[in-house]
Amino acid sequence: MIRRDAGPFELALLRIAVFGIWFVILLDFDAESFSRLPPEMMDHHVLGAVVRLVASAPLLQVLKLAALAGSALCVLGVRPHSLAAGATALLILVMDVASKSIGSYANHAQTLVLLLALLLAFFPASDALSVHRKPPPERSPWMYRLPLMAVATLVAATYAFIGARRLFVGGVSIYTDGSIVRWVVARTLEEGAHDISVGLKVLDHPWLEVPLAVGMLVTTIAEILSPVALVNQRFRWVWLAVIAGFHVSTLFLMNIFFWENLILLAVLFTPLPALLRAQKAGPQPAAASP
Amino acid sequence: MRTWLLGVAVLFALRLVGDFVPLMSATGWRWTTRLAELWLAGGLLVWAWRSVPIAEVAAGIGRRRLAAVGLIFLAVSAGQFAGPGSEAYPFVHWDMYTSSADRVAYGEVWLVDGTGAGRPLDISATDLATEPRAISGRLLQEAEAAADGDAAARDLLQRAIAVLAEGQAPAAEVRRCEVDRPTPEAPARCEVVITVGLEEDT
Repeated sequence: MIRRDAGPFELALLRIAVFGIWFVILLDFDAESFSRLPPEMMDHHVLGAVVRLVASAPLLQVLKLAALAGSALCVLGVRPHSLAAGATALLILVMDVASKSIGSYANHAQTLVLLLALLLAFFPASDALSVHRKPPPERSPWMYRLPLMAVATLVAATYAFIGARRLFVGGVSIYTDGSIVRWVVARTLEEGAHDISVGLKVLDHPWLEVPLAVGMLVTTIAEILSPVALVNQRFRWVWLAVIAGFHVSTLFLMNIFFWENLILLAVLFTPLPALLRAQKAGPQPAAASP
Repeated sequence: MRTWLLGVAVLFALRLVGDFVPLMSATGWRWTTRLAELWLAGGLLVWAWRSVPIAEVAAGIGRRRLAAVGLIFLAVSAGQFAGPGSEAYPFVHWDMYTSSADRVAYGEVWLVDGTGAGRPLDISATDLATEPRAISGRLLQEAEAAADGDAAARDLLQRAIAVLAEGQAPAAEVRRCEVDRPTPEAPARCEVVITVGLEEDT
């Protein structure tokens, strides 16, 4: 199982990634404009009433600043971690629900990283890479391993869920009836967060439909098999190549970019933490010759 | 493992046959596909965790943390398989681009001036959401309701676009665009759903 030998460093790196991602997301949110929207618009989620309650400009601005400060403190590894991360995760939840409550759907890009913020509050993620010099108390190694294993499983599960649904709901026709071309064209024409129009090229070169459909099929297979990447290192590299390729291609073809997932994949599924830990430890003294 | 694989094969065969022969009602079919998804994805996840000593882990982290992890997994799984709407966010289902689409619709908001000239409203510049299409989709929903005579929807639409447009134009059009048989010359077909004034007295 992936990250079964992980320790405080790996968990701390995940903490920095998760709360760092939230800091970047929240920094962009325009609380002042949001508070001027009609309150009736804030109705799409279960916490809509809470959002309407806090949707005054000064209060929302305070909440945003508190969430930003909390995220920054969590990135720095301030202790007690459960208090800092718990409070910050709740603030993030309110801010995220606010930004989702006015839309026609809840996009998935931030859902996973929100769940991870909530989960990290329960584990000692500030025992390493922290501003505190005082060493943490002795803990069971599972306190560091389990959250990483659980989070990697949650990431794998979200891909596997989508893949399984596409297989059983979409069947075979989804790959052969031109749906992929209509999605690519519509998502390119529609205003997205990124202004890229490469997707329209598919109309100038109709043969591109075949590689697009094959790419979707390969992606679906990789998504379904995501749990295998939790346990098989060789497969993990193939899986990472397909999934990372899929995320990059959706940026260029559909103006959809799950950059948050790419960061999580790097932290959870690549040797990046081990490389960073080795770099932090510095060069080890050579073993003495016999 | 063999039983699981056999189950996957049977359920997939059932799915393929279902494309040609109506095997059951829509509700029955939905729950059959949900069961198939759970069997496939859930089975793989259980298989991946087979060598983890759960009792040792539970003793190592304590019941409170184990409950927190379990609760998040339970809620995510329930979100996926019970299929609540986005009101249950963040425990929504992951189902983007999972069923065939013979047409894909989306909304556009155009700002129009007194001469009738228009330009698209730049929703992403407002920094209200990381996904501008969620807002244009919502405005299209309200526009369609308003076009059907819903006065509250019209009022909401007018006030929301006025905030987003920040006085850039006296009026706005909400268009419904459809991509069904796209060509290089006409990738989408768009039609105006409603035009609303954005000035204070409109």
